[in-house]
Amino acid sequence: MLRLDHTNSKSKTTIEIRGIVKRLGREKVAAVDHLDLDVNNGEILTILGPSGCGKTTTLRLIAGFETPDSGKIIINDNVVADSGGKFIPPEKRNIGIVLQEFALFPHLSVRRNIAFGLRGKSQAEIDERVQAMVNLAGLQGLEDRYPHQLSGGQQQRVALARALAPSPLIVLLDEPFASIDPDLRSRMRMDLKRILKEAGVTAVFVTHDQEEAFLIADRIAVMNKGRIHQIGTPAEIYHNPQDRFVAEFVGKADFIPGRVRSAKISTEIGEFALANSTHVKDGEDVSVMLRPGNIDVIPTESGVGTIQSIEFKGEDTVYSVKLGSGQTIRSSQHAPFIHPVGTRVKIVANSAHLIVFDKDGVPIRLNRSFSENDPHAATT
Amino acid sequence: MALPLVYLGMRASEIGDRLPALLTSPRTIGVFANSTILALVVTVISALIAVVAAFLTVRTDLPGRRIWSVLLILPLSIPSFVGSFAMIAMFAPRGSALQNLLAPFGVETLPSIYGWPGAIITLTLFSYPYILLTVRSSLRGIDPALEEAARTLGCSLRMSLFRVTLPHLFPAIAAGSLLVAFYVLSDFGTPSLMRFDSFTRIIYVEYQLAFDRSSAAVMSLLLVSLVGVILYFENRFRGRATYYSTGPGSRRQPQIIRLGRWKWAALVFCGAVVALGVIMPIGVMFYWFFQGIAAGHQFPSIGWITLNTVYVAAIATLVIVALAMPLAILVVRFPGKLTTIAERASYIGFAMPGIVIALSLASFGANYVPAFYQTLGLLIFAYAVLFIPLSVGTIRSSLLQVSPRMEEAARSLGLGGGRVLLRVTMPMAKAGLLTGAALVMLTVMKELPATLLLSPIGFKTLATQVWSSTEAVIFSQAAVAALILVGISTLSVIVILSQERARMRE
Repeated sequence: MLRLDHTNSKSKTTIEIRGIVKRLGREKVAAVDHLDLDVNNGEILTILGPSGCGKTTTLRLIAGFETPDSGKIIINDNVVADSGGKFIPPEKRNIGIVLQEFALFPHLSVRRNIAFGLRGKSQAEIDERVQAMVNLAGLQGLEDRYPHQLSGGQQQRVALARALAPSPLIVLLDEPFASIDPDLRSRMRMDLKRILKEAGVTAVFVTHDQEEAFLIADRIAVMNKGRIHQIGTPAEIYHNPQDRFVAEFVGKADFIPGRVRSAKISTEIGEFALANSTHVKDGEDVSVMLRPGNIDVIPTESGVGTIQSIEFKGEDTVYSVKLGSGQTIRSSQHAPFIHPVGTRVKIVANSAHLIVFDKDGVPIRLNRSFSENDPHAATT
Repeated sequence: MALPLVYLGMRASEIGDRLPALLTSPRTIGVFANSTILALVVTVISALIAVVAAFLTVRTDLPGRRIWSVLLILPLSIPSFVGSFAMIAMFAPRGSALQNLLAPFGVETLPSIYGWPGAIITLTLFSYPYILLTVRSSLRGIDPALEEAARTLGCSLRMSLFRVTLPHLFPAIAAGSLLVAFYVLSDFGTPSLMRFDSFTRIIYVEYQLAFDRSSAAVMSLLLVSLVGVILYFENRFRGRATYYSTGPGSRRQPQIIRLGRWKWAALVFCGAVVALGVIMPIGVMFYWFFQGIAAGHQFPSIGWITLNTVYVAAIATLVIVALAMPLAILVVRFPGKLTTIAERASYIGFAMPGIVIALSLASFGANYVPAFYQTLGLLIFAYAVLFIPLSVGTIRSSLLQVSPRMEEAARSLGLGGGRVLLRVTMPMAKAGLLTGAALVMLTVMKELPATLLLSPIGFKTLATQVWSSTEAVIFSQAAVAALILVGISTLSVIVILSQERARMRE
């Protein structure tokens, strides 16, 4: 069979994963557990999850380094792996890959690393393609160096150029920033996004770093314990987490307990109005998620909490506020002056950004017509 | 280390007018060509066997590959002169086991094993494990991500093995090949037994039989310069690429390749190598031994000889490791021009054939320090000159594994330099040190020419006992000594292998 190519694609999804299960190791733990995932043409999809969540295994299943125990993987309308024993080996899938350790061939120069996947072409065509990749990745002048003579960032760009050179359908990236200095990362993230977009390639990017995911992804799939919890744009993931795992993993959050009472949720810091069509009953226990950026602290003698510690971070200041119940919540403020430790404060939360979960971890809709928690309640 | 060379130079200069005639004589040129071609052919065949064996035992589903990986290293514990005896006993044109077997079919003589075929086969069989050791650890160390990257770039499994994995092994193959080439050039027992005119045999003949010290010295210098040329080219063509993986290596297992119907071919290959390299020599020795028992032979002095061998080898090993340690520490911790030159120079020492060292020390001792001549001290000194480089090499690589940060941490905790060495560096490098010591001891016990020439009168080691018994045609005596030697050597090999395994587990 020929390598998969761009021409025979009809649908707008490049990768379709259907009910994939992969068990690993002696204990046969399901690293990937009935996973479904669609990746659209030309998008950058980031799989975000803690280490050991199965994201790298998912990538290796797409690449063809692992065979699924059950389920089906379709690339460009071609089944590349299914439980019926159909399996297309990695070299026929037309997928480029950039691994965490880059895996540059140490015995080949930059030029020959990039040209590695270009075969069955004339030397002139190869030279032209390599030059195009060198320009795209900003590697001019480094063509004759060997991998050990390059910095981490340069190695990463060579790995990317090498993966893109054969014009693959898909590029898979497995934590490509893990071995790069933190101060270089933010610039390189933007470079990477630009290169991928210019190449117009579909990309699946695996990371455990949410900041990285936000910067690079068109869509994020949050993964844990072999399952995908939520897929959406970075803003959707951040502002509308579909369950408590996503809420806790993406962004900083504190949770305070509350109870439903006559279409309102009453908590230690005040009351919040519920939407009319909500599924929770009166008297039910819920928990309210508070992001530090979405709550304000206002000094009041009759406040509900006391500032316990202050982290000054330059642009903003993070207060840890101890509530009456003993729980601590964080608030991030831009104000130029700093309230001293020990100040009594009330908490004002913008309900437009509040997320409430019922006892099963299912999100509950709040009535967004109220912009703040009841100030009266908050000051009691 | 320079002493033998300087002395050889002095001796060689005494030759005077005969030098041009000696250098251009057909015999000299023939010997030069013989040794060069022999080294080349044996190295190439050894590399092929070693790469295939390493690949089969590390990367395939070969049945029993753990056992094979031990068995395939074992020829290392058999001295090549013992192997040569066994080859001759099995395959000599007349009176050998094979000829006796074929005699009923009217086979009177077999094609001659002497000369090229015997020398090539024997040296290959007993020196390929040097390459196997280096290639195997390199193959185990390769980052599986490299092959995976090649696969995604459109290479089939087989192509990725040739285009990525094999080039990764080149430095290991080169390092092992260097050892084999030097071993072939410096080996004395096999060419002598196989009646092959190599440098070592001719030097010995000139010295012992013709008493022509000067031309022996000239020949020795020729051999040393051949070694120097090889070292020069090896260094020259090493190239710019480095071969260690550049990223933080992953701990994934590489893909195990299914042999399918090639399984039988692989088993036959491993079986044949082990049969010839391990079972055949040990079998022949046991045969001679039992024949001797049946004929009522006694082995009265063998206990003493064994004790002598272990005693001398142990002292030599201690001396060598003690001398090599500071050198290795200097090379690793204070890299610079001077230390690099010192390291390179010690390489030349390693490549200097035992016969050359022995020869120069023997005549030097006899002429200038008669009190030292024919003492154990001179013998141990010869061992030290011969094997310090080997020891520096292994100690160096184990010290490289210890991060200088560890030592700095220890310094910051208030330990002085010496105590850091004792309490941090040495314990961490322990495995490598042990391997190095085992390798040195193994090599010392197998050493023949220097021991023959420099031993005090009446002092016998297992190696010289094998040699002299066969010269006197008392095969059962030779067999007993050889079997004990192989047994002790096998212990050393087991130490080396277990350390290799322990390192892999970390």
